[in-house]
Amino acid sequence: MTAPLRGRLRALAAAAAAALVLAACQERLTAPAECPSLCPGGSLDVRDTLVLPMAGRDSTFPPEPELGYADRELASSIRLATTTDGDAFADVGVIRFVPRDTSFLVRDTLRLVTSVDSVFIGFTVQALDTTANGLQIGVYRFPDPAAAASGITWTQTQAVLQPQFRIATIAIPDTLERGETVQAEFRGAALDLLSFPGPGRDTLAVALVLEGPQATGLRVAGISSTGVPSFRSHVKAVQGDSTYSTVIARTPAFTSFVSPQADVPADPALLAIGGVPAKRSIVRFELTPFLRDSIGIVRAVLELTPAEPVVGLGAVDPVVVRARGLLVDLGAKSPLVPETSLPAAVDTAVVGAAGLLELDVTRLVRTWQTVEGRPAALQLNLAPEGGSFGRALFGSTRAGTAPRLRITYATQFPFEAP
Amino acid sequence: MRRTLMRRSALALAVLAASLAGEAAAQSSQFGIRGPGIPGRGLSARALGTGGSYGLLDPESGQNPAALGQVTTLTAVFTGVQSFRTSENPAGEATGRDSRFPQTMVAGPLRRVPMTIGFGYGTYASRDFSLATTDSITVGGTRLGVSDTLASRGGLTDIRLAASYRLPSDWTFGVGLHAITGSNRIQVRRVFGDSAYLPITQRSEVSYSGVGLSLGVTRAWRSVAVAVMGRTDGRVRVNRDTTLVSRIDLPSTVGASVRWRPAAKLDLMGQGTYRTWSDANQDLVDQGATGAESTIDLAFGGQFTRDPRRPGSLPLRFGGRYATLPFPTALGAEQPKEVGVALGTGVQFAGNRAAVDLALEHVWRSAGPQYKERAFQVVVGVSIRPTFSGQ
Repeated sequence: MTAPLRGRLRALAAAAAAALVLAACQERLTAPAECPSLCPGGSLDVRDTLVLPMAGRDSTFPPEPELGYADRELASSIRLATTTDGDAFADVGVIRFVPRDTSFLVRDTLRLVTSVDSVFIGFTVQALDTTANGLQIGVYRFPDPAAAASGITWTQTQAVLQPQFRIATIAIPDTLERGETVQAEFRGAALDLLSFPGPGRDTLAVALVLEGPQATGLRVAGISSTGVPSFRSHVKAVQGDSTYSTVIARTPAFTSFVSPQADVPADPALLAIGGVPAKRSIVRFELTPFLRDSIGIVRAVLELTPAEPVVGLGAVDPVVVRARGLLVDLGAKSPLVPETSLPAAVDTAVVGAAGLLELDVTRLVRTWQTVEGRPAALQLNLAPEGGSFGRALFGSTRAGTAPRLRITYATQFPFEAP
Repeated sequence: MRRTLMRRSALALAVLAASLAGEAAAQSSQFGIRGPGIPGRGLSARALGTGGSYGLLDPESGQNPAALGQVTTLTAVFTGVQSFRTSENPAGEATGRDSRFPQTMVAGPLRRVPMTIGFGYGTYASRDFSLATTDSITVGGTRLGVSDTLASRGGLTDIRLAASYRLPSDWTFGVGLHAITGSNRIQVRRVFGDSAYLPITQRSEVSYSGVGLSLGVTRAWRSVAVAVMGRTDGRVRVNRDTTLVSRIDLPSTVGASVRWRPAAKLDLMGQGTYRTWSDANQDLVDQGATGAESTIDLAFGGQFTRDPRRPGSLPLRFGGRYATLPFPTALGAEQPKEVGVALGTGVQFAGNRAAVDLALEHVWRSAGPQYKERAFQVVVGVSIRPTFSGQ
């Protein structure tokens, strides 16, 4: 290799290395700056504004006091509350199980139940006051199971709450936690309490009464929840020299709870949520084209002013107020099951509080800007619906202090400013 | 055969030039944040190695259309810059780096007339920056900390179609038509100290369109060459997302350059340019900018050639310059200044069909005691002459 050629190759290699360095270098442009002198256009301008609902377009659904979206018979919880006079709540649970079979299948042969060894009736406690001690659940058997059906009243239930119908007492351990199960066990002579007088009468219906030294409540799982009440019977069939045994488990056919007085009917002029049956409210807003198209929303807060102190058993259940966006504004025809694909804003109201409740609905309100045709409306409800102790009444555009939407936004940055 | 090769090469170079057009920009600087940006210099790596002291005489630079007369064969030139800088301002100090392609050109002579046609693009003004600021604001009676980022990419691009005509008497005249175009992609983002307030990002594109005309003349004697150039640019239209938002008067430029060869191995050069950026002052102030002032750019340098028979083989280039920058950091503030020194060299290979030029430039910029910047720039120029056949 000649010297000039080597020199040229070296030069070429150097040039290639230089080009490689150029290509490999990453960009880093960020530098500190002091506005406004070094900032074209200045800074983002952030402001806030209040948006009121459309007059008369905020309302409770359904408007009829006796109707709701989640009735107590379809609720996910059975409410139990001590029945001390003067308590805000006095709820008795009612459960009717699917009839227990009098025979069971052994291979391909149906065997008649000849004896019952033991029976367990169990409940899953969904919520309780962990500071309340000495609680127990009194279990009363309905002499006529058919009475435990839709439309049962407090008065009808009181007839069952007699000592002769009491079949068990389930102690609530002080250490019990939410989601755990308690059960009543029947063996030996106690099984007589669960005898069924004749064929076709193997249906068990019970009333549950919470008892304790202090006014409190708890919720056990209802028919539409997981961990439903259970009725398990360990039975035997004796045929000649053979004895067959099995467990017959039955789930509820009906769950509900009854109260001495109905929930306070919602004033149709106010916005009600929760209660039994559970109410929902819809609040509709009209965003100006400026708010819909020309700003960037950084925060949106729905301000609700209670028309009366929030009702509930705070130690048992936080009163969780939930706001959801709507895909389509169907008003009273909202689906029973809320659209869970949309984000929800949640806040917890303090029981007895009458102050402002603020729900951060930023992500909901932002969808009003980004999705064409999305109604600028919010549906309010209480979680869980139908079986919780909470209910709230908020002011509307017709009575009390109307809801307000406080929107914090950034105006369009003047990008063209040099 | 040769014509086919020439056509293919020209086509390939044009495609490459077009593909790189979106990346054209000069180095970023805090002095390019206000106004249309920091002006580009339209210089090749060769000219930058001399501090820009013979840009008006350099056929590979985009300053003077008459200089194209020195192009004797189809030539394509690409220039890349890697910039490292440290900026200081009242908000603090930061180091940054960026890579850009500020100058590309394709030129070639016509066959039967002493004319050269050239097409190229370069940076007219660069607005590449990212700013980070912190502040606190009051929202609904609550004091909130905020962190803002303002980022801009792009700027004004100068696309030039130029022609030069060489007289037998060694006078060369040139004319260039300029399309001033380009766009800024700008994004602003704010993050709040309280996470209950969602971060917000806004984006927009600001585009520019205008035209310009440049005229130039060069004259070469035995050991001296002189170039003079004048250029006028009209009003550039500023559109935000296709909506016309303003017009800005662009400057006129006059410049002269001289090269003296006192010895066979040494060239000494000097150049001065004056740009009437103050023409844009009122337009910019009306739109909330900090105004503009006319600028002067003085450069001196030279080239030492080791072997006069092979001037492209590792010559030593050197130079220095002083310039003022058009856009102050605040209304009525001191005009920014720029001082730079440069070194450069280059090598030709493949039968002189290709060349690589390197330049290193150290630049100091300042505007009063509070705004300072030091930048170190590595410039690489690649020139290709696919049909070159002589020395």
